[in-house]
Parts: sequence; C-alpha cells; structure tokens
Amino acid sequence: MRDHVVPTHMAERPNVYLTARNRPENLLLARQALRGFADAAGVEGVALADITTAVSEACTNVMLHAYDGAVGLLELELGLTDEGVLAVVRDAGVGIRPRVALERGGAHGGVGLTVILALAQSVEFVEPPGGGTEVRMEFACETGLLDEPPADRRVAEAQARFAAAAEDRDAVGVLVASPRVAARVLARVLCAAAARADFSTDGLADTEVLAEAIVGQCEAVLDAEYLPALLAIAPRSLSLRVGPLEIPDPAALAGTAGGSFALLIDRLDCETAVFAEDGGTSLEMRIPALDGAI
Amino acid sequence: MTATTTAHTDVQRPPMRDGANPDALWDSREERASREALVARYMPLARSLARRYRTSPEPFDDLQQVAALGLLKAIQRFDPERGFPFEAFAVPTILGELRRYFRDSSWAVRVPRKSQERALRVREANKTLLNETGRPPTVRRLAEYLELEVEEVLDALQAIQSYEALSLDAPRPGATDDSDGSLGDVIGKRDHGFELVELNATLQSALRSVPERQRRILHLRFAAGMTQSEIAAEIGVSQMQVSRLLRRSLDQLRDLTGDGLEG
Repeated sequence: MRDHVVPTHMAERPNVYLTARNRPENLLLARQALRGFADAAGVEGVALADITTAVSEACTNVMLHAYDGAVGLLELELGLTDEGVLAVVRDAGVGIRPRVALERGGAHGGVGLTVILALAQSVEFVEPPGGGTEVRMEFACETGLLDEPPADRRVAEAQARFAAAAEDRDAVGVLVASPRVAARVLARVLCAAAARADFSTDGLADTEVLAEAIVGQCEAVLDAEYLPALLAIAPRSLSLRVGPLEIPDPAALAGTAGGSFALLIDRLDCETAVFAEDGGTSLEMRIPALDGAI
Repeated sequence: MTATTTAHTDVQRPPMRDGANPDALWDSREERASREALVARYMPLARSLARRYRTSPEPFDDLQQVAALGLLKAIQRFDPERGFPFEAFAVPTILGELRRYFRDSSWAVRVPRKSQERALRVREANKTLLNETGRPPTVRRLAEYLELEVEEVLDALQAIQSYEALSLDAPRPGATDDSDGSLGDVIGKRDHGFELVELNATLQSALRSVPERQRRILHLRFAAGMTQSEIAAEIGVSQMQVSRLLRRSLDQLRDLTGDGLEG
C-alpha cells in the first residue's frame, strides 16, 4: 500500500477553501463546491468522477473517524497544478495512523483509504503540528486555465473566523478566487444549502440567479482578493454573509438604488445590510425560501 | 411534450437523415471495396472533426458515429470528375452533418447520456408535480418522487441548464442557416415595456439595450412578480431557460449601468 507518496508539484494557492462542521449532511455541500470548481476549471467525465469519489471518501473518513463523535472541523481545499487538480482534506481530530487502524476494524471496512490511494495519482498524509490529519491528493487530468489565485494575506484570518462559526453554529464558509470560480462555487453551494432548507425548484433557480449576481457585484475586487462567503442554513431560509472585502465605496456592494441588483434582492424579499467591519465591507443577507413551496 | 420526445430519441441514437440507412449506402457490390478503402483512409479525418465538437478527453461515441455517417455521405456523393480533391468535399460534408446533429439533438454534446436521461426525468417530474399541486415541488420532494438522491436532482437541474443554455442560442431545428433565428428570438415578439417607476434612469435606458425576449422575462419576473415557473408556462420555454436568461440579463444590465464595485 502506498502510504507516503510525495506530490510532484503543489499548487501554491488553492482556488477554493471550504470550512464546515464534521456533520454528514455537509458532505453534499463539499461535493457541490467541488462540482462548481470543476465547472469553472473544465474538469469533467471520468476525471471528475475519480476526484469526486476520492474527495468524498476523505471527507467521509473525517466525519466518521476523526473526532470520535464530537463536533469538529472539516476543511477542503481545491486548486489546479501543472498536471491537474490538487485536493486537500483536513481535520484537527485523531491522527491518520490511529484512524487507519480504526477504519480497518470499523464498519467502514477500510474501503475509504484504499479508494483514495487507487484513484489519486499521488497521495500524501500529513500530520499538522496542532494534530489531526491532512490528506493531499493529486489527480492528473485535463483542465482549463484559471487565473492565478491572488496573494491575499487575509485568507488565514477568514479561515479562523469560518472555523469558529462552523463549530459554534454549523455555518459553512467558502473562500473562492476568481469571479468565474466564485460564481460557480457559490451557486452550487447555495443551491445545495437551499435544497437542505427545503426550497422549491423555483426558489433554487432564484438562488442561483442571486449567487451569480452577488459575485458580479463584487467582481471588480476579485482579482486581488478571495471572495469570503459564510452561510448558515435554517428551515426555509439561508443567511449569507459576503465579505469583508476591501472596497472603496461600501454602498456599491449593495447596488445602486433602483438598479438591477437592488431590484433583484428587493423582488426576492432578501433582507440585506451592508456594513463596515474590521478589514473592509460586508454584505449580509437573509434569503427566504422565495416561493410558496409545498 | 413533443420537443422533449424528439430530443430524447435523438440522444438515444444518432439520427439518420434523409431516410439514409448506413447499409443502404453500400448497395452496390462493385463499389464496396473501393468505398471501404476510402472509409479506412478518411476515418481519422472524420474522428478529428468529431473531436472539435466535444470538450472532454473521452471519445464521444455519438459524435464519432455522426462524423462517420457524414463521411459515408461524402463518399457516396463525391464526383471525381469535378476535379477537386476528396478532402475538399468531405470536410464540409462531415462538418455539416455534425452541425446538423448538434442543432437538432438540442443537447449540449458534453452532457453524458446517463445524466441526460436523468435530467429529462427530473424536468418532467418537476412539471408533473407543479401541475398536480399548482406549486413547484421542493428538491427533496422531487428526489423522493423519482427515488433519487437530492444530489442527483441538483446535478440534473444543472445539466438541464447547461444544455438548454446552448439550445437557446442554437438555430431552431429545420432552420437552414442562422438567419432563421434561434428559439430565444421567438420568445418575445411582442414588445414589453418595463414599467417600474422606482427604476433609476440609468437602468431604464440600459433596459432598452437588452434583447426584447430578455426584457420581457425581466418584466414578468420583476414588474409582474411572476415566478420562474409561471414565466416558463406563459412564454412556452422551460423554467431553466428562464433562469438562464434572467442571469444573462442581469449580467448585461450590470455591465451597462456600471452597477457594482468600481474596477
């Protein structure tokens, strides 16, 4: 069994960071974030199926074994390398060695790690200084080109904020680089969240329209910054906080009065607020289920 | 819905146009050997042309078959006495066959067949449940009804959008060239103003630059307050097409009005 295979090349910065609680329902959000990334990066077919399967196995392993039933974090990073895709799944729980033993004896039957090793071109298991496990998987496949993610020094800060929100109140955070990736990832993750919140298919479609409009609204700063989005799912409503973004005119984030974005959020009955906070301006909105679904 | 059935049939099996049957192209035994030699020689050309019409690295069987059919037609119709090389005749013939297939089948060729079939089931079930209750179903309800996972329904809804986005811009079946217009143009023949007093002047004037069909959908969604499903029923396209057009319109309006953050 290949246990330590060093990747030939590592992406400097991922395009997508996702932070969520180790709750099985969050697997769907992680998988949809991956689908959104794949949409934008032009990864499809067999390669996408392989990556989705391996990443899901790594996430499932975190959910089943990393925290021994306690609340903990699941982190996923996705990026391009020279040869394909790099996916990193991280937790802060039990290290990989005890987990391998646990998994081999457990109900999961030891399949997860075997599948990962079979599907990824190279796999590296790293034990971070603070404990836990990081699984770095490289996949060789054809991809399109994406803009180099920006050197945004505030990523670590946002991740820490997302980690606290995920642990405290089961929020899900994504940090996404480049407008195209941001639009696809945000749309997919919001739609998956909307499905969990029992939106109708009409509400889902409006949610997707909204996700793309939000990214369009922020587009101008996304060559220098990651888009931070923090999402909380309630029955029949979503709460979304986008930002903080370093923007010169906070009001522009909410759209011009009577303009198309303002019209959209008004028609969708989204309660929105724009506010300045440490490090920039944020847009907060509550998205109701949007229609009278059964 | 007739259009759906047609699309579905096309997906199942590459269509044989003009009543053409590959076997019937071989009815002359004397020419068979030389034709086979031509097919063998030009099949790589047909395949490379088929590749132009797919985006994934995997071979796409349907397109290759369509390209092969185009090659057969080219061989059958080629007249050496006209004095130009076979390739010059074969390339446009094969490309023509591919384009025709691409238009008529109305599916984005990149969507794998299995997800196409599932997408059709999801679309039909969405319509059925909407008609039964007068309201669009929740994704969960749709998944239960079809005995699918929620994720499969989500992916199917996305798949429908990606193919319908293309079919909306593709020339209509039966159109001989692009001047016959696309489905999108047919949607909004009547002029619909966008009468909302609260709109600002910039948006008002930007709206005039948005294509009429999109203006009508904007009007129905934002001024008349109709849901995407209601708009779909009103103008006779799918809700997913309405969604796609709404997103495109909002994108264009943002560009036109300079709404959003300054670059």
